Amino acid sequence: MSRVELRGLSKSFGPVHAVRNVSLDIPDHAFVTLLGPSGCGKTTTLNMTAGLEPVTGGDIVLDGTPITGWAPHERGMAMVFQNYALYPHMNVFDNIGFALKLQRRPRPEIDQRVRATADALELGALLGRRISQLSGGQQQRVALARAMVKEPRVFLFDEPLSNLDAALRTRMRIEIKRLHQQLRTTSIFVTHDQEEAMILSDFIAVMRDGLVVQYGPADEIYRRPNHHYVATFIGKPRMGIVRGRLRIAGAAAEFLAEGLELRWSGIPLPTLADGEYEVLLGVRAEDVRLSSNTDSADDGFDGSVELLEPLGSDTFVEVRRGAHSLTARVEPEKAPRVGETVRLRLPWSRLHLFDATTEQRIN
Amino acid sequence: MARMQRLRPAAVYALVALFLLWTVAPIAWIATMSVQPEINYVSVPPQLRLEQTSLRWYIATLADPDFVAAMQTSAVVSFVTMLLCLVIGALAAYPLARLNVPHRNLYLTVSVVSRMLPAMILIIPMFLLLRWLRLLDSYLGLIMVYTAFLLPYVIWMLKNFFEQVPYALEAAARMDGCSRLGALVRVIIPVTAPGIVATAVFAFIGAWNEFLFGLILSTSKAVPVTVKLSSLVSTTFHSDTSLVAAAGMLSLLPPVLLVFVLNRFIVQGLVEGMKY
Repeated sequence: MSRVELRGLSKSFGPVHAVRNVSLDIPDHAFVTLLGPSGCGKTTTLNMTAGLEPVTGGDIVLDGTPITGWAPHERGMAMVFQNYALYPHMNVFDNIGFALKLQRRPRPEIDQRVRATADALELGALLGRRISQLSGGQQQRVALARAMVKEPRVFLFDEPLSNLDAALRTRMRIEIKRLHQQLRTTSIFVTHDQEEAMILSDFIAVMRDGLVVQYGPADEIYRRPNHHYVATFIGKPRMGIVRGRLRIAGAAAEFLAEGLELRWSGIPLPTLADGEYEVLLGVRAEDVRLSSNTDSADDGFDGSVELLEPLGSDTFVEVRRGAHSLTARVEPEKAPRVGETVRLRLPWSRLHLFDATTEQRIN
Repeated sequence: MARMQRLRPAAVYALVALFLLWTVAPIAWIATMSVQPEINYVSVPPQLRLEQTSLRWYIATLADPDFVAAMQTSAVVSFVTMLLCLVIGALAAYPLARLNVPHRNLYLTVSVVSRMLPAMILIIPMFLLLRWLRLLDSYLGLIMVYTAFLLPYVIWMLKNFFEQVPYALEAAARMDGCSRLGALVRVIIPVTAPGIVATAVFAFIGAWNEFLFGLILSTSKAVPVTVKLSSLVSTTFHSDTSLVAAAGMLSLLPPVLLVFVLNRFIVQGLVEGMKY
């Protein structure tokens, strides 16, 4: 059992409010990612959870016990750092065994546990090496081993993959995922990479300016972003957004934007009360339907193909109509040519509607 | 191009040789003086008579109990000063480098201001202070004064070395079970060892070469070797310059030995920088 609750956590550095009233309930065994751009407070939140940074307000609760004032090592947590933070004056064995040594464990136990952990991460042959003799990937695995050997109640990861090159990053990502599936240890992972967050996490907390904008299961964050910011932060390519006026009358809806007119009928009730709304209409590339310009369906518009991004498995088609530009995902063999006129259809059920002022989801 | 590449190392070596000549020549000169009778090197042009080379001035110097006592004073005072500077300096530099100390820059500036005043201005208050503490002409008195004067430098140097240690390294140590002090002792200090050794040598040499305070604050029981050397020149009725040269050479020995022993660390600390 290792459930972590952050209750109204905040942190100020003088006049700067780095973290504001962050509350997260992290269930046992869960892999939770704090996702956001640099400076959004995600690392500060992690450091406060670890006990490395004193809190300005709020509580950290581990399995019902408030641990807010506890020293880092009393919390039963282990951390993997962005730059590995391995001790350069020790060899691999001593790096991994340092915490056990400080706990004054008997020598044979340290030996056995360090070796077992090292073997699990294929570091067995490197135990005598100095840190400077290791490659980036090996260093990252030593950092993982150093965290694992403590058999912590909670793993904390502070952007551990951002220093690796693309190929290695993908591999280490899988390794971390596999490790979590094996150990099932509650994990909190910090990153600015939304793809990393989607791949690894059970739950994602999207942060901005020290606030959690949305916290929920990873697929829900993707499928039902509750804020324009979350919608455009998550997903690749970025969710297409059109600003305009939405009119609802019973089961019929009409969307008007500069040079654009879309209509839907028979929309499920009650989505929105009758009336007019200033909205940001969002739609993901895979939800946009591309058809030929002979199609005259009301929920679509004609535009010209501006750019193709063939990925092999899919092709992304960027279509422009006046000031508006949306991307559609199509199978490679169905991709139009650049300059061709096509019709984009936006099915009502796939739309994300955000209030133009508050940017909150309204549908 | 190829010729340029061949020439460049040659030019570098020539410059290095010139620099070495510049720094080593005076020492070579005094080393020669210490094993030759005075008449050989005061004559114009100076002459080197190898058959007259002798170590008798060294033997005479070492036979002088005052000189040996001065060497001992300087060795003890410099060594203890070095240790005190490192311990106090590390404990002061670490919070200044790492913790959110209020008025941090004020501390740092004030510590340097004390070094901006000419020592002559401070010597009278120092003398009165030590007299009041009954520490005139004592090891402890000199150690206290030297430590006070070297600490600002030491703190600045150590602070810079500590600042180079990534914060995460210390965070990792604390996650693993170290207190802040434990992280300093078990991780930060070992990691910055080359820098600390360089600082130690700096402090030792600073204390060893000090002259003015030793001259004023000590009279007989705790005379440092620098003061003793100057007295060899001025008090002997007709000073034997070879004797002074031999004493000078002997007084060079401890710092040279220290640098020699610690050379590996110093070069690493000053040239390579540190690897994390």
